[in-house]
Amino acid sequence: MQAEEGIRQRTRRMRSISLVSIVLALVIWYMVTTEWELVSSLKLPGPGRVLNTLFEVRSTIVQQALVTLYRVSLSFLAGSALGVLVGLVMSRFRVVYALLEPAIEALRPVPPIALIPFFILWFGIGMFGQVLLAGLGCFMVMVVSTIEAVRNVPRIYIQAARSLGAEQDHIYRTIILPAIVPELIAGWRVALALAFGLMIAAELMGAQEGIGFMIMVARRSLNTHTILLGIIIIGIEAALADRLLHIFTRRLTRWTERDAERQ
Amino acid sequence: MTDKSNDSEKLRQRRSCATIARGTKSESAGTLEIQDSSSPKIELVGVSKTFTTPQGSVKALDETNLRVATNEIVCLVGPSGCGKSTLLNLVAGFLAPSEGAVLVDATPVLGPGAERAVVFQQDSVFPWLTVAQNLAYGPNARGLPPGEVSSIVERLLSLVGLAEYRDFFPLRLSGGMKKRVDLARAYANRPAIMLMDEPFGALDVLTKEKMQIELLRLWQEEALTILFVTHDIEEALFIGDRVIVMTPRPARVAADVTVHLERELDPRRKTSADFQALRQQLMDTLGQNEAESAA
Repeated sequence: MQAEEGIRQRTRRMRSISLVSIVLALVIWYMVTTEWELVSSLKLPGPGRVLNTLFEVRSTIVQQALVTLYRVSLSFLAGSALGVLVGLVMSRFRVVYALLEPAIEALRPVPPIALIPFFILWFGIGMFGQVLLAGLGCFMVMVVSTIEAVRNVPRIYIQAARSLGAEQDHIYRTIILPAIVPELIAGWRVALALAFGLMIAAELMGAQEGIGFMIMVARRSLNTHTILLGIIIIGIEAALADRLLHIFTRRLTRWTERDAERQ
Repeated sequence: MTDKSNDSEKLRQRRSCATIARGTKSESAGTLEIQDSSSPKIELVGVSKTFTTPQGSVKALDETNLRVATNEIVCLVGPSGCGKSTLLNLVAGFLAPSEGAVLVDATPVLGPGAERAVVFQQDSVFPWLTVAQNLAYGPNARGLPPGEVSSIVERLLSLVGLAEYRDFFPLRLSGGMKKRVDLARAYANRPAIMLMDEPFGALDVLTKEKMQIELLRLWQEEALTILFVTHDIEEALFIGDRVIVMTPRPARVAADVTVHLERELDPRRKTSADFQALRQQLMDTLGQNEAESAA
């Protein structure tokens, strides 16, 4: 009990240290832009200016933020679910692996951003093309992570399952799938961050709404305080999404050591 | 009468029954020798196994013959890396022989199966399943109805004394408890054969003794043929009906010793004179082998 209390206290202390660093960054930002006026308000708007902008555009900004968040969630969920599924099927069936591996290896080093002009040409500037682009990024990350993770499943678990009478499909469902989850977490986090990046890029290049679209419009009139506001909102959204992912994966990996230590 | 002596009494009765059963089978031949029984549970006929590695091919097993009768406990001892585990993996169906045949109930082994349970030296309890879910794995995999699965799990939980830990993840269990889960999980399918590859090798002396007794108790419960790989001669003599000594790689059978000791569930008998004399005899055989292969 006492040890637990100690750990909790330490966690609290660490949280307050993290809070200090955020407050410090805000203070420096304020001092540099507003108090000492070291840089012009055009090049780096101060916190007051950004806060004002938030109130000015508060009616539309919530909607823009939600549109981007919705698209990111959709592409992350669909892209990584499909990625894990294809990765599993490729590991399970050699024929499928031989069929898909060259295509995936050829496409993987290409940054999806480079595909944006074609995607706009093919799918227009609607939501479909943007979700497809970010989803493709997540898909690529998760296919590779899944195949690697399946390779790393200790053979002994598979042998044990086989000698307990499990058939290959049953083993994939009950052994491989749960065993790879801890290894997939890193992939999911990378994919989520990538989804945000790709979505903003897609919205910058051609869209009708979303935070990226808002930034692009503001850029035309050198409206830097709106751009900065957009950046901050993306940052907050990405951090919250990562936090949510963390809570979700923690539920899935209650059986691993990484969580036992933290409790 | 104490519990312990009661147990050993039962055990002795069961042993004599088994001997009689075997005896009637081979009485026509006028002998009670188990080896002469017409249909062994496990049989290896001229089995060789060669592995191909980047450094060339390695012969792990060389024309090995072995017969294990129903309900017999046969222990394999030999220098480490000699191919004992290879032999076990061949019977388990994880490997296929390069030459010869591996037969179970006179039928060639084609792959792993639920009637041949395996207990490994390494921890193979599934960490993402609770204790109860681990025990239920085999029965579920074979598609037994849920009611039957849960009654099997309940029985095993109390048999190995883990009822309180049923909803624990293996992470929270000690090494000995995990081994008990492993053993019970293998046993859940009611296998005819248990293949054990140095299962208690990583345990401390006291836990090891407890596990050996627990294994013998399981074996008492039902018909069970056990092939047990170990490098611990005392362990082999304590649990085995027969002890097979293997040569260094490529492994062959160097000696096949039938243990005629009184079988009791009391680890103290390990210190008896008979026991120690037999142990010394086996040690000498092992040592002789190594000297010969070194020469």
